[in-house]
Amino acid sequence: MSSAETMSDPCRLPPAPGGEMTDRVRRLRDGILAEKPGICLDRVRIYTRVHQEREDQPIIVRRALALKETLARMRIRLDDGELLAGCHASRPRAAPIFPEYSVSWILEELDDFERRPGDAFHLSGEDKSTLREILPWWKGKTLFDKGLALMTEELRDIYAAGLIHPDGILTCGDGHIAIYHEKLLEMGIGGYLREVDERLAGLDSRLAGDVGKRLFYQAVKTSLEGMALYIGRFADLAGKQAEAVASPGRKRELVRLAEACRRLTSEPAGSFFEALQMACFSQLILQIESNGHSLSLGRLDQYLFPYYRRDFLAGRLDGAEAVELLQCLWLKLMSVNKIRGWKHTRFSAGSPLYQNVTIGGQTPEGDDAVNALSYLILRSVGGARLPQPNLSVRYHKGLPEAFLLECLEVIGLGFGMPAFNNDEIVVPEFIRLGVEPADARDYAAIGCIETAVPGRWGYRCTGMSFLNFMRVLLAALANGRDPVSGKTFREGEGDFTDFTSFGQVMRAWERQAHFYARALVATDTAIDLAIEENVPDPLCSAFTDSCLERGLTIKEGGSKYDFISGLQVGVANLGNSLAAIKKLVFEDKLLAADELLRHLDSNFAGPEGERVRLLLLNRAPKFGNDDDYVDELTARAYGLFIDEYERHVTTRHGRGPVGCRYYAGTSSVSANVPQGATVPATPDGRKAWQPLAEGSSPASGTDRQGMTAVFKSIAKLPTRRILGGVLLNQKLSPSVLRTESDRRKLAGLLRSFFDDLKGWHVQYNIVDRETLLAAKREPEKYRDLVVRVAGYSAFFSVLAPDTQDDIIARTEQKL
Amino acid sequence: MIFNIQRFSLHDGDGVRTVVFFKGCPLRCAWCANPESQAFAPELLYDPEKCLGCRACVRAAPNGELYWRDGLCLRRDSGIAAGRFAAVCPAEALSLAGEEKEADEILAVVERDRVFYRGKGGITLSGGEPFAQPGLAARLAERAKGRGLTVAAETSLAVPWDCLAPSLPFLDQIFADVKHLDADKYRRGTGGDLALPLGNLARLAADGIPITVRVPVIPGFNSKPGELEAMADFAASLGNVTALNLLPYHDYGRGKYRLLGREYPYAGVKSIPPESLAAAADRLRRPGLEVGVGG
Repeated sequence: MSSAETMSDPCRLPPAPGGEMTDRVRRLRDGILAEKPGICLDRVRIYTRVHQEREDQPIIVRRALALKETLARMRIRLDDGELLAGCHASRPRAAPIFPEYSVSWILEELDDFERRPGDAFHLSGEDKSTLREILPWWKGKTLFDKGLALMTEELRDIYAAGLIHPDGILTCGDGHIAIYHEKLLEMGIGGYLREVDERLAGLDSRLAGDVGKRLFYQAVKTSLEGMALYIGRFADLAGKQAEAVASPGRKRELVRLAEACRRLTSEPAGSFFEALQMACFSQLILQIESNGHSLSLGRLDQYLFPYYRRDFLAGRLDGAEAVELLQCLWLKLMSVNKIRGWKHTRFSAGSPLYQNVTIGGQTPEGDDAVNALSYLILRSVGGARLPQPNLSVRYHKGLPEAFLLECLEVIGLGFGMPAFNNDEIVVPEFIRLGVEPADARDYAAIGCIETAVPGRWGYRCTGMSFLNFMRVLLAALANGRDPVSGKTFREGEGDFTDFTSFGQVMRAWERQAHFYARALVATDTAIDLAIEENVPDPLCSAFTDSCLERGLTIKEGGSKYDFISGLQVGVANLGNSLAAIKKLVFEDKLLAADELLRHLDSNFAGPEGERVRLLLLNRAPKFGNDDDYVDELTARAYGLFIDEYERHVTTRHGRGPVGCRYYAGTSSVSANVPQGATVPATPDGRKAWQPLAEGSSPASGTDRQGMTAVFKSIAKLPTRRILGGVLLNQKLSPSVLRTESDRRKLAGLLRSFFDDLKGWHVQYNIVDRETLLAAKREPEKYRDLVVRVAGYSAFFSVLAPDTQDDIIARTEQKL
Repeated sequence: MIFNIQRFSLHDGDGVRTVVFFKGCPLRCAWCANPESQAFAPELLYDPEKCLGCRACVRAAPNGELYWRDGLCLRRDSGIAAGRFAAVCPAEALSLAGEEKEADEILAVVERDRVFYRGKGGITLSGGEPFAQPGLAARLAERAKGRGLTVAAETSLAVPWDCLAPSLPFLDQIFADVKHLDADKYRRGTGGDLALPLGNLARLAADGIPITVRVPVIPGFNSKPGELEAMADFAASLGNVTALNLLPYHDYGRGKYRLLGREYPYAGVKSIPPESLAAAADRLRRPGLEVGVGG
């Protein structure tokens, strides 16, 4: 279908982005926002019981049985006014517990959940006691335990020292995936069950390999049955409410819902409403199956469009109704909550789920893919002003100007969405990696800014193993000794004070960077094997090509493609530090090496320390100002790390998927704050324990030349080797997007950044400093203030104070 | 001589622009927000709050241009080599306003954002008063034009026509200040001769180059309704003026006077919030004349 045809649809679009919500949506939204985040014990109770009762069964079968039992028995509800059904837990915003991933942090932190400075969770004393009873059974059986056991002692020490932070995967599993929604909508649960039965019938039990396949298919079947049971329960619930309700309007809604759910227990989706409801169910259920976050919805405007179009042309649906339904889906996404260990919470401030929705981009043939639904999704997100979903727009050269301008208008509403990904680099680079062109053009944003092809790509297109670049650099300057733990994991090239040239500094960096690149891969390998063995996900695998065909879970190599990235934190600090050393120590000779080290040790104490700090800060070039001296140094140093990192393969290598390789990534979410909190003073003039630079963005307050210079600096990074994402967060004052003329100028800037400079991503925080300061002082008054943290948006008021400070400190680009 | 090159300007002409601030101005407006733009020689700005007292600058001043006596003292009248002292200060307490730069050097910076100009954006000559350095202005305008950039100028027009003329063939757009229409008041407020800008505006009208008139709205100088009305009528009477912008008085420049060791002549005068000029702007609208608030 050509884009001209799709756009000529006489869609009665609701008028303005961020237009009014309906009373229903507003009421439901108020209800969810008023919910205090809590803990729901349904899942942990059922999972524990099934695991205890069915210890005889292989793990994949046991997990499927636990999922089915949970879906059949967890408490569900359907609130007054709700158009869409589905529950993630017994209450909105209540986080289920996933004991099979890790329990030690839960038992340790149980009493502190309510007292956290940010992201507090509330639970009753009785629930605490229950958890204390249930959880100890899991000790030694969890992913966390098994993963640690598979790591070498050295890797455990590196982890303990905080140089590599794999807690995201080690305590929660992978996440970061989008399933094949088109297929699920077209086949329905019944279609999948038939396929599984056929495949089971074709197995030969005499073959060892087929035994594993049989277990997988059995587990898939059990999971699909659980899914049907769960959906059927909502059909019953809606039906019962329909009988009891007095209002004829509400009765009609409930009858529609009951009928849709009844159908969806086995049939394909037959309408926009059913398709949306199915996307909602699968999104919730997959987040009950496993605990990894960033489960994303993929290209919602593409796979829902045929349903929307058919209903629209038949007069069964108009744009305003579609927006209301979409907003009901956003509220369902909002109701999902996740509790992480405190250590990891600081890496993901604001309890985000990173449920990404992608719109725009190109068709598999390379035409513009924007359609009426793209606009409706954009407007519905603008109108709802919620931190979920995480909305991403795929930019490409042919993106209609009107659409781009409307994106900027929504950005101007000031809650950090949408973010942009750039087809002009993602598509050709994916093709270069071996992705089929039609698949490459079908990619979506996953989680924050990272990208993968929905339904065809394995878990974790972003690695989740964070490497702290600045700790590595400090070790490079100290003959390999990590200054925080005092340990030498890899002997260096000597002490900085003995270096006679800057080249030696770079060699020392390279040596350490290579060592830690290998340590990152080794950490991932251990954890990946532990995930494969201990927490397989049959349902998510079933919805990912080519798992059913191969009879393998995703972790066993079932997916068509498999590329992952690590997360490197402190890119700008690395470049700035090297530039300061090169310029001030070796070229201008304003500082002696021992003098610099002394002041780093003392955290720039005393007036002389402050003088040295300012010298480092002000008298050496900084990344983000389009200064080749430091920009090229940053790119070179990062490149040295990537040289080693991209040589390695994942645990799926040779088992089926295309790729199975690593590339770099900087979608480091809010990790820059806690990672900085473990780093002593650094040669870029940054004081000890302060945040590092976020993603690939310039270090806070050091970009002084404006947005164009930032774009130019970012573009000098080796983007095509950082396909895990080059995160650029720009904060703009609201004035920037006030008039149409301003928006046109910004649109032009974006086109230059994407078309000519091949930028990867950019997102905007449109909030003025005063507002943020006020929100920090009086959080109650700003309960709905959403800010872009890094790759995602969160409520400002729930963030920890140091993350709030970091957001306030980021340079506000004034025009 | 220039004192700043500012990239990524969105409000100084079409598209994305790089603004080149010329140093030196024939006027001495009491409300000037960029006092460092007035003198034609380099100046040293000193911020005692940033000063660490490390005295690196004093050590770099063997002739006593700077000395320490309960704090840093500057002999501002001695024609000191401002750049040398700013360069040794680690804390940016000392900074330099004013550098001799050749047109090609400036254009090299302007070129860095070429990818963002997209046929619309380009260079804006500003100041100070760009046409008070007619040679540099014309060279920049001609060469920028030759490189396919658009050229805009922000000017008080308080210069003889001969200073303006060499740049004119290369200008796409002019933002011209109209501060007052009464010669006496103009002289008292700016120290200048109103005949110069009025004469230039008349000749530019004949020339037909598109002009946006900017009126800095200064309390106690030109903010009375009658004064504003007169300026709007005048702007509307010029055939080539399509827009009039009211620039509300603000005191953001006040700190810089302190850094230059000068008194702020407008101390005590309150800034005008842009919103409060919106009503005035509505009254000033004339056929063919768009009126806006802010640059």
